[in-house]
Amino acid sequence: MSKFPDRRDAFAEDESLRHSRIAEQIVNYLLLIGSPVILLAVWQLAGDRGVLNLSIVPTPKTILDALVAFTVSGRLADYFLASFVRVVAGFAIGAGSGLLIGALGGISVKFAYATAVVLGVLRPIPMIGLLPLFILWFGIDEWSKILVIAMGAIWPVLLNTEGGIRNVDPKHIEVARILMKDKATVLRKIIFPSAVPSLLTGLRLGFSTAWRGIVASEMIGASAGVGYLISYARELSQPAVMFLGLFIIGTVGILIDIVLQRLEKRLLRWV
Amino acid sequence: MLKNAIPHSEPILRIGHVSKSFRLSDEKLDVLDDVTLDIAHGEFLSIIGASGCGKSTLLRIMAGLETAGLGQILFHGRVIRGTRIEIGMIFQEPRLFPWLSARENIRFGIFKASEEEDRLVDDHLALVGLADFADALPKQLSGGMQQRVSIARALINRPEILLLDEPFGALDALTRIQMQNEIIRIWRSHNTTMVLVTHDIDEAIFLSDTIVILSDRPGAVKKTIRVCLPRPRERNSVEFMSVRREIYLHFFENSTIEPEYYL
Repeated sequence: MSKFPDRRDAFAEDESLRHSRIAEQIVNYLLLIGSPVILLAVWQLAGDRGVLNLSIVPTPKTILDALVAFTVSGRLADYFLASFVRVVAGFAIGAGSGLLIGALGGISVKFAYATAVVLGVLRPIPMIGLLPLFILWFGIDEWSKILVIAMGAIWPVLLNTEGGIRNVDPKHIEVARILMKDKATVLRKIIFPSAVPSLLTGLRLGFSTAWRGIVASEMIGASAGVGYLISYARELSQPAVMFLGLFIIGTVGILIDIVLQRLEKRLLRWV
Repeated sequence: MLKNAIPHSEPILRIGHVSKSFRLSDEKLDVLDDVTLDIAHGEFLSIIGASGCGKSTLLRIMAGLETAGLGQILFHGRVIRGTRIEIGMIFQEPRLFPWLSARENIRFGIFKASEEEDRLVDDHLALVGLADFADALPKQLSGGMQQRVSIARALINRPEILLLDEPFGALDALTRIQMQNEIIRIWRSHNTTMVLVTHDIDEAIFLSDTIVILSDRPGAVKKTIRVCLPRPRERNSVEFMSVRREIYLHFFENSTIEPEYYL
């Protein structure tokens, strides 16, 4: 050992630090991917050993078989598309009204007071509770389903929009007063941009609520859709198909959330 | 230059018998008590006082952000109410819009749209030495740079009066000195009347023609001191020290603490 640590020693230390960081990342990924794989393996094993009642609990393999069969027959794509169109339409209507009502409530305290009781009573009603009523009003085909989804999507968007607008920094408003900006400019240049982060959160939550609503909306009077697949498989006692439907909802839900989170991050580079 | 000469013309801003009190739950809190003050055109005036003495409130009343309970503000001899484009203000925090670049933050300040906008914004970026940071977002700028952007935003309409509410209070000592030099440079080149609120006595001496000492709550004018030192000022000169001593004596007039202790 020399008396003075030379540069190579310092680099060596850097290198080992880098290695341990990479090792930690690998471990984390293994945990992330490995745990569901192990879960599936144990599940399959339990099924093979006869621990599970196979008439009500499928095994991963039978679910996979169902997935292949539905994919080959083309029904999976049809059902997914049918559900997706409903969700997008319902989300568009729900998010649109949520944005509008939330923005009005955020800007005008009078409007917020005027709507507080009605919205407060409507909000706790679950989507599924509205379905029979909407079928009565709008018929058993698409509109009742779309509007049920819309009623689910509206709340996260509405509340986050209103909150975002309310939370504008009063210090920024003072700057605008000093610079003699009119109300329209303040709204356009300060209030709306500062509400964008919570507005995007609202839209993201609204979309995942809308996606979750397909099971409820397709429970009655549907002839296609992922939600319909689940109810239909229950009637036919096909647990593997029921599980397939649930897996699709879960997987697509998380994928959509990841995509929307990425989008949010990209749009909010200034935060 | 005759910057230090006492001007004889009509004051640009006249604060006439301004009092202000706030209501805190059930208690009435007197913040300002009968403040009368004349600010001359082109003058650099500082208001100093202990924290909570109402100096910021006084500045906010001048800005039109708050109303005086009693008394009035005269701008060029006319009573004013509310904010005016001729009176700009800089706050302790830069208050930039985080979603806009430095350039767009400065552009936001523009009152009258014109074809000259781009050039005007570029000029002001250069004025505060941030030409190379035009497209940076506020979060990418240091505290001092952010405050420069806010100064450029306030100056872009060429206000006749610039109110500064402890603008360098949050900056480190070195940056603060640099910003003080900058503000003097801008004051000289723009001939803007400056009204600074600070609790930094040295800052007040370094910058001001006139220093107004406010008493503790409720704030009232305790003493007005003319600083007749030549510019640029030397912070460690004997004359500077003697002005400082004078201010300390007024500041601690009624206190038992020995002022020598602070010198």
